[in-house]
Amino acid sequence: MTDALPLDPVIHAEARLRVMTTLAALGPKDQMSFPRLQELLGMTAGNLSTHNRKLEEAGYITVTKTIEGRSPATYLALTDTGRAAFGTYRKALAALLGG
Amino acid sequence: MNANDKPVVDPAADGSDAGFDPAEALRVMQDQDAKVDQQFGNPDRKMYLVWGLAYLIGYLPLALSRGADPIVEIPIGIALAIFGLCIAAGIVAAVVLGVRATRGTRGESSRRGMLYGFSWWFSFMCIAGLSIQIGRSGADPEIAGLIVNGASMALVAALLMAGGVIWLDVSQFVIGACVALITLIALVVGLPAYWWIMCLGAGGLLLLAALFHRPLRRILPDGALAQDAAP
Repeated sequence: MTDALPLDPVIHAEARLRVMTTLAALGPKDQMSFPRLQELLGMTAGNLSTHNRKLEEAGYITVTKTIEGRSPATYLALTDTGRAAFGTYRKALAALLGG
Repeated sequence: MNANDKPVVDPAADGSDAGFDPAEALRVMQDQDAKVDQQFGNPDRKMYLVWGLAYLIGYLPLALSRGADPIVEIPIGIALAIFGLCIAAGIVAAVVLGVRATRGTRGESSRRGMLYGFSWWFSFMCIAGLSIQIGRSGADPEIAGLIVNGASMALVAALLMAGGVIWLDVSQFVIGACVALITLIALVVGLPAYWWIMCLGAGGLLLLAALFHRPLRRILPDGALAQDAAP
């Protein structure tokens, strides 16, 4: 039955759904640092990186590496494609649950 | 690591989670939305609460101790100092809330927030200058207090309305306009009722804004809601 669900498999996994939900709360021109995202999700850095890679490969998020002061920093943001896919996912989920 | 969080794993090798129940997915989204909102979300409600309390408590000694038949005897200098302390506490809380709201983020929103914060500091430095000059002029302390306070509240109203324009937040704009209206009424009525009007009017307004923040934003949609409605 679950095979027939019109839910985007890239988003429909708890960890990535949490990542998408958190990044969707940002403004369209905002980015969140990796440690802040990690803190809001309560995930290990390795686990979060794995899921971020899948979302990045799907074109849903951008991962920007930069230098702040002397330390490397990583920022993440939803792409327009990611924002649209998340909107579609939310609608599909609401429809599926009879919302 | 949040102790309440379940370990997050993908059962399928391709990373999809076929066993992830849609109802559970909805719960996860709502839970995460709430977590984000609580830790990092819109700080407006807490700002209104902080300033509502600062005004209510700060203006109260002035309201109680002024007029021909004061309820309590408090020297004007002490009453103004208590007000000043409440405002200082409000500023500290507002700075903490503002910094917390954008911590770990960069981009348009944090730049706007930073510039908006600076606009409060720069304009209130002028109020500090006004306060020093009025103090030096030898004016009656209560009249001096009224002038400085009236100018401050006009600036608060203008900056709240400006915030409403910057973030397309109609509720914030309306609250700013109400602060302007309350200040105008208080200035027209004058002393000693001025302090009661500001205490209950401005303090009460902001506490109500904190209490009814969500319904207010539903009635008066803002930029964020318009964004959600976009495809």
